[in-house]
Amino acid sequence: MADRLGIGIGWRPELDLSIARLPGVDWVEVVAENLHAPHLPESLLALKDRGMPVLPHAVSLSLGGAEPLDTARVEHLAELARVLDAPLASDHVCFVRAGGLDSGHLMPLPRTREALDVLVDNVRLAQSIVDVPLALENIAALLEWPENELTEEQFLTELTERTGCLLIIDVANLYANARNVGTDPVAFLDGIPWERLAYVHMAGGVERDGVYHDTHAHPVLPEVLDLLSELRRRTDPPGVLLERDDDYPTDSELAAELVALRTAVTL
Amino acid sequence: MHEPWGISGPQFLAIYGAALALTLAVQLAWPRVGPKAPADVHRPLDVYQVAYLAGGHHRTVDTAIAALLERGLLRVDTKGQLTAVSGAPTGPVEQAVYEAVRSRPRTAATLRTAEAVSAPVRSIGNDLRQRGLVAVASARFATGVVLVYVAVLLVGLARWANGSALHRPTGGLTVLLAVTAILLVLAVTSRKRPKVQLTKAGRAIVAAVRTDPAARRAQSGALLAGAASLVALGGFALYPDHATSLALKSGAGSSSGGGSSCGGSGGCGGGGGCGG
Repeated sequence: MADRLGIGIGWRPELDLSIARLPGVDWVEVVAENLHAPHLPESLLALKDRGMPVLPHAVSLSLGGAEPLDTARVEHLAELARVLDAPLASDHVCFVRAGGLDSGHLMPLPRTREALDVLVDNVRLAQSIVDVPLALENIAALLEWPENELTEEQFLTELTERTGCLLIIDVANLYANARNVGTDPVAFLDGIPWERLAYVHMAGGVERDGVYHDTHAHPVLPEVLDLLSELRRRTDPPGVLLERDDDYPTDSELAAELVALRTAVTL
Repeated sequence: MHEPWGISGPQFLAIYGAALALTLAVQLAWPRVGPKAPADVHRPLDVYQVAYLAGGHHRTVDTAIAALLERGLLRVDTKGQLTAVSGAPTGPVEQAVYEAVRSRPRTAATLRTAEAVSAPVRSIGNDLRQRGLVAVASARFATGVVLVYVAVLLVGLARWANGSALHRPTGGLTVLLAVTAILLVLAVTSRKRPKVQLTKAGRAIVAAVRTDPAARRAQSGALLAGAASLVALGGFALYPDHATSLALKSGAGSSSGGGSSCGGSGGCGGGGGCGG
């Protein structure tokens, strides 16, 4: 298990002044693709200099892709982890590129042994490039491949066993999958190897036309907070991170969401 | 030798230059020396009217930014980029600033020159002119100046074309035509943000609210406290939160107009991918 992080928030340039003064922010996560190691924003470096952990989170490694891993992207993540002195780096259990096309989205993997082998190979290669532990996150899927052989928790468990990677459990994504593709969230939570948990993601979303959208632009739903409490019954997460990427609310509303996360994981 | 239009080239240049100089002189001096409304110093001013008196167009926009930031309707990042949060702006300047930022993130510098924001600020200037506190040129006067420049330019162009056809020297006239064109462009652009000159009464109000708390109270309760009133009087440098002040100045560019030195004369200076 990773060191304790506490309650964090996704660092975004628009929020940099707010985050610097928000109460209850113990650490931040940055989107790796938005940063260049030699030219980090001064406001982010100021947080780091204050001793606040800054963890890079990638969205484009396409670790589940069948094509050769783009190691330049992994090296970028590794370099960021180095300059940020981050305790770990992360991406997702997904693919984003295939056949020369970039989907611009995190696409779900078929949960087959064959796909797992591909993912494991790519994760091992990435781990050989990144100097710090690598954590991988469950994504929100709008579809399930028909040939799935494993449940998501089985897939993630085997992944950690074979690669030694850590997990980021996105509770909002778990909620989205429960709503949209029928994942059993309790079975998921029961099946996760919690000793491999790096931290937890939380985010807001909205339901439109019977589909839950993980927008990161709405408040965290009470149902998602309930799922976090359910997770807390199984483990004490080393960190919980609030992701907000658009339609930013007031500082006081952000602070209230952070308090709600802290309350949900404090017994 | 037969002279075109019955006057020699040097004579035409002298007449043309005099007409141009007279137009410019009237354009610059008329707002100061022309007829003014009697000063109305008894009705209280709101914070935007005081901002306009203290720092002109830019300061008025800056004051709306400060008010919206203070009430949480806007957020600013360390580079001065403003983004909309939520809430209901009050008054036309705030409304215009908020809507402009809501359409896309902006800095103070871009808001100061946004046409949608200029309209309500011009309206404040017109109101203060009618109250005898500023000597800003009226829209009708500004339009008249533009028309005079157009007329002068057309006469000059006709003379230039005629002279060229007759193979007369046109170098001096070419220079004056270029000067006319520049003055015309400036006259057109200044119609949207006319230079503000305070009347004696306007200057007295600014001096009073800067130095005398009682005068501030007499002008408006809104001026007793708050970031907007501080920015109205002294620019972004006086925004009470230091980090926010620095961010706002950063977004305003080099001519952020912080101190009080610019007051009175007006025209002060100027996603990341979803984490999954």
